Amino acid sequence: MQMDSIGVGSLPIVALIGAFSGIVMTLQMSRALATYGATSQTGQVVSISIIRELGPVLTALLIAGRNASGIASELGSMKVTEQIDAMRALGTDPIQKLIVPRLVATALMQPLLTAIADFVGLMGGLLIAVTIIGNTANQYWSSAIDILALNDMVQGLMKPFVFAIVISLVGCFYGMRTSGGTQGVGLSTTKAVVVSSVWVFVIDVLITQIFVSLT
Amino acid sequence: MAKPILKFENVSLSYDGKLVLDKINLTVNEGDTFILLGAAGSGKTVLLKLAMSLIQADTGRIELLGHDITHLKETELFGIRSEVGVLFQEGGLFDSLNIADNVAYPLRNQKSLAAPEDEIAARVLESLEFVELGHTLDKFPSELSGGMRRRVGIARANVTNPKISLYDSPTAGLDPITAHTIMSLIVKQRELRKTTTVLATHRYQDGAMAANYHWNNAMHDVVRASPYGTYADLNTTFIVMDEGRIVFSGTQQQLEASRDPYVSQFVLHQPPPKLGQSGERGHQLPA
Repeated sequence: MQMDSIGVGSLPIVALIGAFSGIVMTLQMSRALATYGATSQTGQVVSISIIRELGPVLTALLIAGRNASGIASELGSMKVTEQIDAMRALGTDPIQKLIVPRLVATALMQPLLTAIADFVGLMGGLLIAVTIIGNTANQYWSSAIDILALNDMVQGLMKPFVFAIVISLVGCFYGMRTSGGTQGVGLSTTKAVVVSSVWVFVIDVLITQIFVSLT
Repeated sequence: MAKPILKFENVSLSYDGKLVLDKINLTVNEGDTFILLGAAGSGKTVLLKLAMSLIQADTGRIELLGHDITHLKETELFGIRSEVGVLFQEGGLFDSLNIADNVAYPLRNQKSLAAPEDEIAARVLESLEFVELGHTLDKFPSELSGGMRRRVGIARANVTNPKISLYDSPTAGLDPITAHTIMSLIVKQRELRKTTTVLATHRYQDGAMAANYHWNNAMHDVVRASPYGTYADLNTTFIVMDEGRIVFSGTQQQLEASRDPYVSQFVLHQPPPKLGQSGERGHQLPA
């Protein structure tokens, strides 16, 4: 159920944002590349930007906004209406029942969503590269694929995995610590989104630094 | 001699530097009815949660069903909690589960109570019929009224046939008729299933009903256990709490005789008459 909510539920918005980021990226780069007469390299620039950075970070921010808030508000509501106390009183460990499924679902779904966002972003770039810049589809794809190294692929999948763990744990943390009725639920939800978004950028810098130093 | 089923020894607890419970000592014996009276914020809910170790005391010792639960791990507590029924102030029903699944929850999740699904279904139905809500199996908590949700809460608390039931403000926010129904069900549970009962409430009427009424199966209602104007002997102890301290402990007769301004407000709904004045209660206006 959590996988459905986090994965399938987030798919349309992730795909939409992926497509638009690919389109905008290609439009912006085309002007700069045209200055140097290098519009044939559009695929390279778009693919590196999307696979390494835009795909993982934009997807993470969407998941933070959609799912960290969802997790925090759901668990927060359960906390203030004593459902979590009831769960413990009736023989269930809330960590096993509530936190682990959300953590696992986010950790599995977010890399998949990122891969989809990357693909849709590259397709968006292809659309602009072919219709406006004048590249051929073959030219775009070969330059986009050839530039990618194993390092980029690992980076592009490792980031969403780590982001997912942080986003779900932050959502669960603020949800489980909610107090003060409905106002408290709102506060927890806001904190979960803000804190998880900040963590996404901090971790992004750290992982990027690690991969940069490896090459 | 009656066996202690719940015992607090010098239990204290602070939240954010504020003392919430201050050296609480109490003993609930098997078969007793224990009424915790107190204003909002006096520590009733905290005391009930400590009794199940849902929160940990800072100091002191808590014994439940013969086990020292003060420092037990969560996993070690599950077996002990399976013998305790609890109705939370907010009901604590799971929004995402229907009524049947809510009531079946302890039977499906307590390892010591594991049973086949058909037996669970039968016990759920029996428990819901006990609170006269056998027709709500497929409904969700949001489809029920506040009073019905409390009744489902009672059904869930008692579906495991617990040795002790803890009720946290079961009548709070309910109209007098529904409150009477809820208290009748608590008395019915106590008498038909011989359950030790701890009831936290701010309503003296609830305590008085638990202390003086018993369940009459033939009439299918509660009836007074002693004539009006007398006190029934139903092993009922009243405790009054104020800002985390027990300020009164005794029988209903002693409670009604108390001249402590805080304590007597629960009985009289106003401060006690001042000695030396006329027999009327309350303040006298100057002539």
